[in-house]
Amino acid sequence: MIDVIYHEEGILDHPRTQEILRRNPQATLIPCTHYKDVFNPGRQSFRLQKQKPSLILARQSGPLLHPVPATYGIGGTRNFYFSHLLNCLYDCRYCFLQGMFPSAHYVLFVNYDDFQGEILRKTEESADEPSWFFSGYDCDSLALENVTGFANAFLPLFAKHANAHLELRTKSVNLKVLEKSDPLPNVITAFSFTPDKISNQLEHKVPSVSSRIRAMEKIAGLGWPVGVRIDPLIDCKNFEDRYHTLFDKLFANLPPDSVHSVSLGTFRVPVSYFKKMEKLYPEEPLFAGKFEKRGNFTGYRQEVEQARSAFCRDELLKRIPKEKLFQCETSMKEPGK
Amino acid sequence: MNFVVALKAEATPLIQSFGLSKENAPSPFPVFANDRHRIVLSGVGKELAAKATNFLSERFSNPNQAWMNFGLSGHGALATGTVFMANRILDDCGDGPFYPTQLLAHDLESSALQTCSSPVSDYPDPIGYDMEASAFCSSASLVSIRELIQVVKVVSDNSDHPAGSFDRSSAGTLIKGALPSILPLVDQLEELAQRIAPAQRLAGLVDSALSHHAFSETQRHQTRKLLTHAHALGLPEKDALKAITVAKSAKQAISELRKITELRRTLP
Repeated sequence: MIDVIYHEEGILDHPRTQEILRRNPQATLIPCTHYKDVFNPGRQSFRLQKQKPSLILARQSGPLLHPVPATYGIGGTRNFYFSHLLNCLYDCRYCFLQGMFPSAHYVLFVNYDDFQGEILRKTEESADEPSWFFSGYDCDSLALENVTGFANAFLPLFAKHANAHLELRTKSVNLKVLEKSDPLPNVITAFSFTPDKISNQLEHKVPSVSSRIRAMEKIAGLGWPVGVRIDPLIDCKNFEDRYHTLFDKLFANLPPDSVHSVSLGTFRVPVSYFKKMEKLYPEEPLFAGKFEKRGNFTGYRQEVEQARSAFCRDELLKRIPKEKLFQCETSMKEPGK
Repeated sequence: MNFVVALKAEATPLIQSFGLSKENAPSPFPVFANDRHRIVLSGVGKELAAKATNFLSERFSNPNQAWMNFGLSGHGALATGTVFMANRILDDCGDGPFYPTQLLAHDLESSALQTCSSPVSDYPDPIGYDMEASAFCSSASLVSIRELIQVVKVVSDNSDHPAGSFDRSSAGTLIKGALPSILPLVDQLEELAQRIAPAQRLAGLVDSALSHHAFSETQRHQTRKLLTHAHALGLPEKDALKAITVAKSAKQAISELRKITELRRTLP
């Protein structure tokens, strides 16, 4: 439940704002001139705010689509991400958002029409080549669907434009919005996983691995293409056993044709983000792992990263064809870029 | 936890409730304290509120303590005696609003509050009016996080009961009536502050370790980081301390500590 809703003064009358306020009549409303007045000030505790984030309703008046690094794609060459929402319902200890954002409040940009217009414009720029749009970069695409109505609003656009592809990235099991719609071949719902024991330690407030697998199987059974994201890879004891078991569970009941793509992502975050994450949770064993700085990023030591990635790649290739496996070299933007 | 209160009459019920004693040392502002709570009497107005907040933060300089500005205010909509939490603090001189993070559980009224440079005689908007909060927030936010800075006011005057007719002798009664609403907020703020305070055991371990050798500043930083990791990884304190104490130099101590920590650097 959301107890406090901030809103930019200019968007109070927006139909999406009104709809959200109607569904949260108990919330205290606090006006602000610009969302950054609440979201950006220094000396906020992401850790404390994460206990009870507020919702900030705003208009995105800056750039709406951003290019995605070439190494992040899943087969396409025209890749963009967009953020209708900043921050996430879940509280994963490895998440770079806690190092990137000054606040844990959710910022929802209500001007979906502007995002959709820009998606359409980019899609029409290139009739021959599909354009890919990634929606789960600064948030979980579906976890707050009950509040945002995001997928419900965007699926019709992708239903009409087969050349536009959407990746919904999620750890949610609330997939009613997909269950009630006809499946779309150009909308990939991608689920992120770590092994059970790691998930229990690090993925706070996240549905269990087995419930997510069941949810994935369910929508795959309904005809939706799904993605599997082993991202980030987390170094741990019994690494090989744990990841082997996870892969067995993931692909045991998943119809092979429903798997659009599988990607492997290493844990790398900009140095400044990592420092902030460590400072937020000094007692967290994850951050005392075998890390090193490489350039502007902190990641597992190269030998650890290479060995863990190679193992997972080999294991995955026993279960899926090579053309469906993608290695995401860097899933993180550097500060200010 | 620190409180900034303008007048003695507003502070007295809190002073009594916490059992605070007046500090005797010469000081520009009266301070009442015990080992957990401190109240500074700022006097009326923004300048004094800022100075008193700065004074208290220098006098008790631990970072990220809980701070509360508490007292009476006017209000354009709420009845006298109503207690409210300020959710947006405006300043009549145009400084940007301050938004105290709304984390505390309560069933009090929540309201914007405008801090004015001079007393108000009318209440044009349905918000609170006071003379200290914005300056308090500006100063407190230099030494603490926003989640731990809160402003709580009790309505003493409104358009039906203007400030001019307010009987100052009733201030204590109004505040006393508000205490049952305020004390749970104090508990919650202290709990939040505790949650992000550095672990006492770790701080003790670091102090103890650093006392054994002549560490350079860089080495102190390295040792602190290694001990933090050792603590996070569950290395027994006695093992960490032993590595430090048996070493013949600071350099060797760090090397030994690094070795025993390395063995645990994989997530269980």
